[in-house]
Amino acid sequence: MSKKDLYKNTDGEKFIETDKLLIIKNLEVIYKTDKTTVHAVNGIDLELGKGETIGLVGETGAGKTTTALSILRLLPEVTAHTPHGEIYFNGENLIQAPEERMRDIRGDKISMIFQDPMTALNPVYTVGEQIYEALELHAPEHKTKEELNARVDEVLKMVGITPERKNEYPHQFSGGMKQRVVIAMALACEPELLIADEPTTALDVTIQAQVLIMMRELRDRLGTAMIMITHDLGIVAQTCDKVAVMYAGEIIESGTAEDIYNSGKRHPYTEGLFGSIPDLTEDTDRLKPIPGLMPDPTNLPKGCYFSPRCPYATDKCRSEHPPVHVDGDHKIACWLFAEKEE
Amino acid sequence: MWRYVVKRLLLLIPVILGAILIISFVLSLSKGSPAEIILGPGFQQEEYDEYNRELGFSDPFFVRYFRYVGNLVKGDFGTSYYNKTSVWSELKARIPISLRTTFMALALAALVGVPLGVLTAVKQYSMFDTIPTAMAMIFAATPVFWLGMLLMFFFAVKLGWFSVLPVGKFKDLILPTLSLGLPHAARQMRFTRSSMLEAIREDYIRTARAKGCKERTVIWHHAVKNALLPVITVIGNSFGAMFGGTVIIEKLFVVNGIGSLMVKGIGNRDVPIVTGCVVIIALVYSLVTMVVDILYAYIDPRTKARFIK
Amino acid sequence: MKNVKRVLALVLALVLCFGLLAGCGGDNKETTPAATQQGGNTDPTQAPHEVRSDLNIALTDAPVTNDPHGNSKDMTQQLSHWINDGLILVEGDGTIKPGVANYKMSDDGLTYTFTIRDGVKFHNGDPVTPEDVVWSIERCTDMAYYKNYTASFTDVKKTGDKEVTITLKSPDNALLYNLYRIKILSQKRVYEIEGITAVPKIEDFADKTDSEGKTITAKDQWKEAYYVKKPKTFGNVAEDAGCGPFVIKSYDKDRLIELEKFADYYDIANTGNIKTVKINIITENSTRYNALLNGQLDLVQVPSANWEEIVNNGKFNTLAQESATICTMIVNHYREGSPLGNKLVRQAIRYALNREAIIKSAAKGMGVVAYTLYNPKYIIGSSNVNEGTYEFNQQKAKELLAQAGYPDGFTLEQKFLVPKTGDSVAVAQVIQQMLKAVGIIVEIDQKDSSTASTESKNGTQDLYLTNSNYVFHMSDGSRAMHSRTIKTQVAKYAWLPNNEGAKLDELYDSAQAATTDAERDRLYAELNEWLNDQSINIPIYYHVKGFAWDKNLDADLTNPYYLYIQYWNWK
Repeated sequence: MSKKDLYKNTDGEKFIETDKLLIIKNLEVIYKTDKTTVHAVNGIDLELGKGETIGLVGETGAGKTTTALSILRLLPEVTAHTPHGEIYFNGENLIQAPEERMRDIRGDKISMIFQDPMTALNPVYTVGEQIYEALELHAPEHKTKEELNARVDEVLKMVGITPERKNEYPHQFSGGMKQRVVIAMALACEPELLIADEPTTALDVTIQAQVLIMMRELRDRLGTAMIMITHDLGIVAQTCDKVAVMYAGEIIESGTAEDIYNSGKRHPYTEGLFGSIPDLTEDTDRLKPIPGLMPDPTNLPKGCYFSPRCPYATDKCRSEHPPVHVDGDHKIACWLFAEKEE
Repeated sequence: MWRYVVKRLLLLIPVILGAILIISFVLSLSKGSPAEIILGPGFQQEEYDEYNRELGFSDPFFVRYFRYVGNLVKGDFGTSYYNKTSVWSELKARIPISLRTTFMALALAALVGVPLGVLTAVKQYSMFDTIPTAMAMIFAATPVFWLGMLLMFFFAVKLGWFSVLPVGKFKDLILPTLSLGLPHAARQMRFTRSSMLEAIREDYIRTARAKGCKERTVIWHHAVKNALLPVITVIGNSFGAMFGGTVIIEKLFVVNGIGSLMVKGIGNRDVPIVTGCVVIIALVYSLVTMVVDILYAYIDPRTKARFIK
Repeated sequence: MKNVKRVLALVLALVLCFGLLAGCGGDNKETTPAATQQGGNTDPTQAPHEVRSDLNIALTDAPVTNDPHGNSKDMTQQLSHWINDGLILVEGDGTIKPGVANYKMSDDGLTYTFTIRDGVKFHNGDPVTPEDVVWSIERCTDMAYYKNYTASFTDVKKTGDKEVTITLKSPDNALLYNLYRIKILSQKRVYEIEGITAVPKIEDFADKTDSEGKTITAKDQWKEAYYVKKPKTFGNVAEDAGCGPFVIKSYDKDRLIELEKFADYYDIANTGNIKTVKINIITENSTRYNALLNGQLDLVQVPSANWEEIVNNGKFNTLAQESATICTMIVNHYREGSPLGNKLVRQAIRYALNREAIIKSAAKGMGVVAYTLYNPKYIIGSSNVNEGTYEFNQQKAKELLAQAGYPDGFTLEQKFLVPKTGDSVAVAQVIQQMLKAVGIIVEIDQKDSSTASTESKNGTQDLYLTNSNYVFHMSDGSRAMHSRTIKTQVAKYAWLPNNEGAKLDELYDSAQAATTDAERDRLYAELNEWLNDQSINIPIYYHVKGFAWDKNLDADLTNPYYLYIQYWNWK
């Protein structure tokens, strides 16, 4: 029995009827080595409609990147396993899809861009060659070289880079320009879903703004749905329709941007996040971080994972895992709200 | 680019002069004069002195140094103290042989080591990794002469597939190439492996996969080209080391290369021969390094940019 | 689980590796000769077969030159004997035969007359003339290595159509042996090969001063040109200026030298049936041995480590032959304040050495205990006069040490210098232990052979292990012991106190000048006894050389110095 078989996932169907673009049901991802098992994603549910943008928020280590990678099945082969969960893209269960099918999807239907633009491009090939490769992989057979090259130019123009620069190498571009190239490459085949994993974190603030504006424009123009992974609530406010807050591999709160920002009801963790944003108007000597650290994913606490750090934690919180309190689109996984219902 | 080449060629001059200086100095420190070794015992001291004087050996160090350099510029490598033949004629015969031996051994090392290195990196932790890696560790630690003697004894004497002495056919080259090349292939494999492992973990590999590239493309198109850069440098450097350093294999398989000439010269305190060998080795080493650097620039656009300024 | 897999993989890899190499030892496959050009047949029982006429042998080192007067190194000498002849030929057992000429000695031993034999030709077909003989001998007088052999000559000149006369200062009973080494060359051919178009005359030269202010006379310059003392071409190319049994066909001195039997050789009737010879230059012992096993060489001197194996192999003729090469230890007797200056101490050292044990353990049995420096079996003038002396006796050693004033032994200040050749280091280590057993402590200093031989002359060591090769005649030993070469020799007998060393000179000179064999032998015996008493040059063992050769080859190996391939025959 191979290791893969040990964790073979047979949840759900291969295909379902839906009009939602992306449905994630009860996704569980673990990293297993000889010595430890890391519970990275612990049963999350997510839905995304065509053209919608969802912000996936959380601290480092919450499991946001793992979730994103598992959609595209780009997790490390040897150590990562998806024992439970279903990911439906246009009704197709990506977890059970064959690798060939995934390769077709990657870059064509679902694209992903990553955090550090400095290292995201292969230094020994020109920018044009790398974008061309993305096109060539997914182009219908009748497309000629000239057509593909023309598309490369078009795509570069789209991100604000003169097409003449396509014969230059990545090291000849600045950080912000490189990220634009990455975005161009990701959008070249006009994917239905773009996963952006902290795309502007490594850029400085002014460039950040430029790139974000550009991404919003492109998304609007092309109708691309987007998962924006970030720890920056400001970016979420600017770009996202929906928000999901992740903590210790779980989505502890989700809803529309309205719900999260203005509703008055918040998961204690989300409250802490907002509280930790420095206020320009107030005079503060010290920042207000959430005390404590995210729990060790190899050794998650009993009950609510946030309970060790929660200022409102009760014994129940510490001993029993909280249910999800649903209020329309707004969902919060916390005993405080569940109890209120009773 | 040409400016760079010219610059490197000009740099050869101080390198060679320095090498000659150092080797002459070291030889002058060793006990024993050529006369004592060439004439042997049983002569008068005056006769030794006279002989040394005739050879030009007893002149002061810098006189000899400048005289040698002066002659070298004219293309004259001098005559051997030991058997009075022209040093250049001895070198001329042996340079192609050493070049051939080195080239073949390195070709073997590259053709066997590099692909295996890529394979073991890609299939890390599997059987395709552990077995070649284990074998590579064994071969990398194998002394070249032991391997040579073993191969000769087993394949030439016991099985009779090869002849012990060279008979002028291509077959002669196989055993020495294996003896030299296999330990080197092992090292090459491990080096390529670690270079590949590093390359595979780079972010642009993840980008390539996210684009939907086939795994084969990811490895051979994206990773290998990056991984090969340090590998090329290592192969190039090894060329220089192997060119003059294969004395034992040369003696064992009766291949008359530069290495054995130099060692014989050292034993005979034959300064012109040794210096001549050192000049050639330094030249070959510098030229190969230069070629490797230029090749590197062609492959790595980041380095190329530095040359075309 | 992973660790188990890793260990298994490692084991599998090791097994794969060594499975490949495990075929050695155990199975005695028929050694099939690889593609040998000549199709040698090692099975003597299969008849009839074609008798071979070619020979494949190896030299351990490249000859320095093929100029017979150019160098005295072993391999150069060996080649020289094959392609050149002298006035005299010396057989393996020391018998003197006429070579190029018949000889007659005058009664007072001061005049030798040589008559060139009929039909003696050079390789290019020219007859050997007295002019050539005179030129060749006088050439030696001026060439570094051969000066000693002509030291006693007053005159060499042509005295007839085919006659040359040599006159000496004093009788020299080593002369004929030395003449063997003076080969006769064709002056004309040497000039041609060297590119000299006109015979140099003294008038062509004038005195000149060199860069250091020394005057070089016209005569000296003429000599250098006339006798081609410093040939540039001759000696480095295939040449036909000699008159020996073989002619050089091709000469790639670092790789392969090919010889061909000289069809017009004057003594061809006495030679064997070998017509062509391929001489491979192979420096590595194991490669020569493997080439023998492979059929690519017909005869090799077997490395001592492989001796038992080749004898047991049974497929080759083998012979373990005692030689005149001797392993000796030279004691530094002249260092100020050294205990070794005392003769009793030196003799004590001799009693402390168990030579049989040394041979067995360090030389793998390939040796014979030596009592005299000059093997009486081979060297003319030497005798068994020292037989049985200084047999191993630790008790006696300690007694002598006590007598000399060192009852508890001593530590030597300077080291035991050993060249890193052959078994020397192992021998030295055994000797070191044996000395320790009687209380003499010394440290070993290993050096490569050129450095060792240079250093040894400076007296910076207290003991020096060396191997010496004496050839034909007792006088050959004088070059390393006579006071003539005091500055460059190791033993330095002339520095013995009270001018004792003069006795050595006296004995050497008078023995060599003796006019009768009996007188000669008597004086040399006295010399040997004297040397034995002094114990400065301590004989340890004669090397036994192991030869192995093709069963169909009838190789006469009685000459312990050189291979006389011209007498060999294929069956």
